[in-house]
Amino acid sequence: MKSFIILVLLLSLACASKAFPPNEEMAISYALIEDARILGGETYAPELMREAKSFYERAEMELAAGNRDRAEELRQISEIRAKTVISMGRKRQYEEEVEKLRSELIEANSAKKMHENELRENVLKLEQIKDRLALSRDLMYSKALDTLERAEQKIEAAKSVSAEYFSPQLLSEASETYKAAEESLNLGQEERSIEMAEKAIALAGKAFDESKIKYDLGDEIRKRISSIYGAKAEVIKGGVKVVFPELFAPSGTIILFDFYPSLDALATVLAEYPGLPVDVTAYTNDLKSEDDNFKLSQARADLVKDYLISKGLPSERLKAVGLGIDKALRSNRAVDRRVELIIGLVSSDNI
Amino acid sequence: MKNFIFPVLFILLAFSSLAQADDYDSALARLEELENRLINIKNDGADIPAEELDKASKWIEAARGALSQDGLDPMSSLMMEKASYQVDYLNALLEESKSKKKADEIEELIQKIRSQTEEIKTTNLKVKEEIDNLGRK
Repeated sequence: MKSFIILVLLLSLACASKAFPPNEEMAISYALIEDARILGGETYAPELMREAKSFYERAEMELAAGNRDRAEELRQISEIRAKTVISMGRKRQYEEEVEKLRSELIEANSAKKMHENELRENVLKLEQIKDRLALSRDLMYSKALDTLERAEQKIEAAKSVSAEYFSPQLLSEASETYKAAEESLNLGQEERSIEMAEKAIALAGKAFDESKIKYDLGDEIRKRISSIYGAKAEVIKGGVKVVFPELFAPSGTIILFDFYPSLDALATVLAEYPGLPVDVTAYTNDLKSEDDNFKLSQARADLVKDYLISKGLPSERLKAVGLGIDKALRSNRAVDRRVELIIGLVSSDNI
Repeated sequence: MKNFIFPVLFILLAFSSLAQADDYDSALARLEELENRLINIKNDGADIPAEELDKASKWIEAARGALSQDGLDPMSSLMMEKASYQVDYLNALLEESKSKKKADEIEELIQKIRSQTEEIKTTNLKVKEEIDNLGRK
């Protein structure tokens, strides 16, 4: 029985010496071989693993045989081989990581490229929008300039038909609005400039339309009166001016015989335009004193007025003024004793 | 018979000593080759622990000492083998270091690309915002 127990103990010790290395260094070497195995060394470096184990086993044997130096050499070799397998394992891990990272790199590059393309497209789109806006601004500026020009032309057209007399309010508003449009354009406010210029065009247009009627009326009257003997007619601002240069004999208050038909014809024309006021102004030459000249010119003006009344024109339409010597002219004595009639184109009812 | 055996033994001994001399030279040449490999590994500039490099140098020298002192006996052969395996190990460490370096480089590159992508995305957002603003005008 005793011998059996001793045998079992010896066997256990023998097994234990295989399972557990006898000293610290051996334990470390054994652990390294285990680490290499766990890393999969038997798969990727089977030869090296076999060597590591073989050297370890030989070290154990040498140790058991008491050859410590030789055992230490073999143990160290076993450890080096195990560490080599571990290093190879780590290398494999890094290589696997490299492969994985390469896939990530491809994905990262692809994502970057996608965003770059998107950015490129958006930048292009932005540039196009900016170009379009710049173009539309240029167009807007050009349109504003055109509108201002049209407004200016319309105002000039209104002035050409004496709008400052016939539609002063509208023309003034049109001019002020035009100035505001110009200022807006200078401030870079094209839209507002266009809006104001359009308004100026509308106002000037209205002034033109209103004035044109009266202007045409004046022209019509001028033409009709121009055909009367001895009368010179012209459209002036706000009316028609009719001049009879030699209606009276020099120094007298007698209407020259030749001019009665002319005055009759004038009365007929004036009668056809009821309501238009007529200012009769008479002048004299410088043959008499100033006082006498005033009296003479007034008498002449009154005579013409009375004659026209006698021809059926209502007295309230007529006004007579004698101005004596016309200091502004004094060119020709015949012209100096002229009679002027200003036919206002605004109806006296409206005055 | 004697006349025949002695010359044969002499020839065998002569050949044996010649073979031993050849093995010795070849062992020295191998150690030299190991030294050269070690120098190349050191010159590679890889991140290898100095302790392991020192071990290799030390063991090559120890093997050379053992070889010159005791000739090519089992112990000196074992020491040579150890030095040789250590150089192999250093080589494995060198390869590992290269792989690690490559992984680190790719990782760094990925980070750089991701960072650039983020910058591109930020710029893109700004561009889109500007497009929206201009679109409202």
